Amino acid sequence: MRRIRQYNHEMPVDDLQFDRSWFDKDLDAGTFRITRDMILDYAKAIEDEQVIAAAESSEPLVASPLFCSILTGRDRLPDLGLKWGRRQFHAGQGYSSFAPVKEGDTLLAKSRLLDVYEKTGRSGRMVFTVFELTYRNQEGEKVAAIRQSMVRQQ
Amino acid sequence: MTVYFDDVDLGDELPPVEMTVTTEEVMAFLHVWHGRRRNAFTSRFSDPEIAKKEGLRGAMVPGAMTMSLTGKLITNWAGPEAFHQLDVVFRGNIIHNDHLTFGGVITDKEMRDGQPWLEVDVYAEDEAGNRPVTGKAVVLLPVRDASLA
Repeated sequence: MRRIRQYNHEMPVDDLQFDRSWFDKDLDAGTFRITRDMILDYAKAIEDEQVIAAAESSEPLVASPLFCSILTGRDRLPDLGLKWGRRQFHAGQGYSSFAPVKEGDTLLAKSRLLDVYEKTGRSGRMVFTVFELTYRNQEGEKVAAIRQSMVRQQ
Repeated sequence: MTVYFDDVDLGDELPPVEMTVTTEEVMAFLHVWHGRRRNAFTSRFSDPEIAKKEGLRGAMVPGAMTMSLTGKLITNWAGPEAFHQLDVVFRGNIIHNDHLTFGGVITDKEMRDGQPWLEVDVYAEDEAGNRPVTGKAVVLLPVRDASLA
């Protein structure tokens, strides 16, 4: 595995062109008002019976533990300008839960580019980009962190 | 039924979760995942033709959804409060209506920084025996015997 640019942005650049200025910056990735419908729709999609049953009452809903996963489809991530590769897939994901997400919360998402690296496997060269997303509620409490790894292939 | 830290041990297997991820469920997930994004329903996740042009067997289940379903292995067993962390690697594609078995085995158990810490190796296995998802979860269980804490 060959690391491209992780901590020392002054290293010589190979044929991969992308915007290295995004390293080490916490960027706004969006603000999300968490509604009852969002919590319930997510619970129905993954068949979380506990949340679905809780929705029978009028009490504010507490979301399923991996709820912030759905926000990864709405977050704004910076454009790295990485032109290499024709296809991009989700390579992996890490999710840490620190506090419950509740109906009525407003979550502030921040993104940070952690890593860009390449590997060569059976299917040829692959380039991985890794972002971390953190979510804090309206009280500034960190509720979740997601490490999202995407892989690009030719 | 509450699962206690005191009552589990290394090598214990979690009760498996079996499911078929239907197109209807994927579309429901896409709805909440992408919100009002315009291209949400014209992608490899929703359109089999687009997926096949990319070399897939059919429309695929998004990784974010697979992650959520893998988490159910933990929450079905020990409840939502027990879930702390999950790291997964997507080693293969899961296609709509694939039948999956999610399983896990406890690989580490210790009090760490005063917390009852379990590590669980997790996977999703398809009917052919392939494991398109593997990973590790951290689970924090309640302690019955206070002297352990």
